[in-house]
Amino acid sequence: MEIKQESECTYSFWEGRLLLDQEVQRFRALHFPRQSEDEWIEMIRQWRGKNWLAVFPAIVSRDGRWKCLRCGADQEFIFFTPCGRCERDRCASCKHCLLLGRARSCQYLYRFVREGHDRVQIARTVKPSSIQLTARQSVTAQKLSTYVKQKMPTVLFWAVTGAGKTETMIPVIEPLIRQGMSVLWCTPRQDVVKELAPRLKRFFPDEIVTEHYAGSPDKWMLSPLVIATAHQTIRMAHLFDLVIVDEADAFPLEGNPALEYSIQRSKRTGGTIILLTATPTDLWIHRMRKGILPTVLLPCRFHGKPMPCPIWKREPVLWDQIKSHKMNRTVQRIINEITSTDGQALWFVPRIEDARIVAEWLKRESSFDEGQVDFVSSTDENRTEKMLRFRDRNILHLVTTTILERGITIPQCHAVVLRADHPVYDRASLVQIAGRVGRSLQYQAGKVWFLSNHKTEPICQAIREIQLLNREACKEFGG
Amino acid sequence: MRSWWSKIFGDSSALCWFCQSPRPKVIGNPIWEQLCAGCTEKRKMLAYPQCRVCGKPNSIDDSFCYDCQRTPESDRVVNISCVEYNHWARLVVQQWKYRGDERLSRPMGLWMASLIKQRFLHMDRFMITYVPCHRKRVYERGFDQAKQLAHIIGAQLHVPVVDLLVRQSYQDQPQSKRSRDQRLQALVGTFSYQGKQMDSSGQSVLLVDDVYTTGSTVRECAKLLRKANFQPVACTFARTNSEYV
Repeated sequence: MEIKQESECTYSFWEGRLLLDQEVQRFRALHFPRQSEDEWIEMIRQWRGKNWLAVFPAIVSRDGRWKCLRCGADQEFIFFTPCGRCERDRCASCKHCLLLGRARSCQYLYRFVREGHDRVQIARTVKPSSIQLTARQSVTAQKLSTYVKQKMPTVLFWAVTGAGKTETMIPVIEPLIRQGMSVLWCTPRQDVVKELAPRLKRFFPDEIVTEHYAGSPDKWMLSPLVIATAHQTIRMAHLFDLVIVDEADAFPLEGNPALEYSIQRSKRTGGTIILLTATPTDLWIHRMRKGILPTVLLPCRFHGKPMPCPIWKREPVLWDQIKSHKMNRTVQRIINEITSTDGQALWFVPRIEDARIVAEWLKRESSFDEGQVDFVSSTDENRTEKMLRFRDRNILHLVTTTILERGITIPQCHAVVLRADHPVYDRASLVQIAGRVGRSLQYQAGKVWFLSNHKTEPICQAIREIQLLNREACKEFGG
Repeated sequence: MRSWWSKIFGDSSALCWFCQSPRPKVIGNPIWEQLCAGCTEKRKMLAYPQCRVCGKPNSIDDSFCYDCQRTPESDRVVNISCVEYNHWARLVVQQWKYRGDERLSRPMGLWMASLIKQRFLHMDRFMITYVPCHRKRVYERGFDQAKQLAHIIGAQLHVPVVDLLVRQSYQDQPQSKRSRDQRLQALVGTFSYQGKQMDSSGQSVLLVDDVYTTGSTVRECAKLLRKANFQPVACTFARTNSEYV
């Protein structure tokens, strides 16, 4: 009896994980260093007997098509090499989840899932949350809570940029945590996890929140509220009652069936996925219009002011002027306006190598002090340092590529998109860029300019979408 | 629209060998030009003039560097390397060796092969061997990294690859996590010679490894090869370029 209880207690550590051979060994060495090999084998035997544990090869071939059972990647991601483990000439490995340790066809995958077993739900006390929601936000949160109670499989939560998505989600998460359920907050990128965790830790006790990303200290610990990058969900299965997918339309989530599969898998049967986005994809909008995808719309920002509508200007010779070191009159006017309203500006360029050229051009052609104009790109080593200087208003004009289109908040910000007709700018990224502006109530002078030779479809769509959302927001406020 | 164009002349863009991002494709470029803009910026080739023994960039001429002056003359091994072991090279080697991305061994091998062609191919009766991994490590990683490089180089240059050495002791701590003194001590008795007693008087053999830090691994292997009457030279993918390690 005692052994049985002990094995059950140990099982709670393992539950909901999907681990490779080598990961199981590492995890054991970390958490159960005193457990002997015999005990472990006995435990595995028991669990497999009870159907709590399934062990199968990581990569299998079904009807001649190979599939990685770990991340769900298809034939196109599988490659074959001679293997030093199984000493066969053609051992299949998966390219897609290579960065999380290599899965091979000669390696076993351990799946710790109890089907149809209700987990012991320990009611937890949560600090009475001290957040102030606007009326609109709390109505939205209530709607979302109802959907979660109804066990809707997927819900789209469309909130404009700067609407206070994180704050709105907290009243949705809180009752679940109180009932002892578990919640996953999953984002596409690591820096978002690092930024979000301290914010959520303000509302929930520290031991409840864990962060999972490559190289995070508590990667192996599971807790009621897990914040993870999308790739880390590959290691989890049937674990969460609510999965919140933040920035669900951003790279690498969008159009990646394997990651979608693993996010779907990490939720329990009867759980809900909330797709959180400011710019839903065309497919979601289509489904929403057809009524297949339940949607909650939050069209106004937390301060109730509308989003600034982008101003499009035709500038056919702008790029030539940059090349021949001449000032452009529109750009001069924009700079004057920004300076007169005491603002800062983000200048978006389509390619990394353009950033340096434009920054030098701005520096030379306008009378800025040394260091007031700078550029960043994804390959820049002092990116965080430059961002800090931009936040502290040491840099007034920052030239950047699309990396800064999401997730930054500068209170006195303007945005200018040069060459807005370039194919890297789609509707979503233009709307996101416009969403950088006017996020604080105190500074509403921020403007958005799109400068390009042609008025492309994404530009029109972005402007139309912002106007639509502003109209919706007006309706809510009664004009 | 222009589908016939790419059918006849091939695609105009290709993928970077190291990070799989798109790069311009120019036919006939050497392998180190076939990288994307980001990788080209970050990879650092070793500058000339270099130390005539270990290939370390020297500021003045091709005389011996300080490291080589310290080692006894009988121990010195001529080494050539492709790139400096900087942050980029470290990430590449990490992804290749520890994460098991075997696709990277092809560009690394081709790069080394073209370097060997420039520097060593005038040697007659020449063969390739490698610094082996322990059996257990091969099981863990699934492949022997230096062996893979050696086979790619051998296939490229039409030179036979032979297994001459074997690693005897399994080290819990990999070489890359030690200091200089620890490295020099830990290697004694690690390798042993396993080739047949063949007529090898004075035959050149090329020793392939991935990273050259202090050169102690290479020197230890070379010692064994010299005992068996070979003349070893070494080729590594990356080497450190700091004053002292």
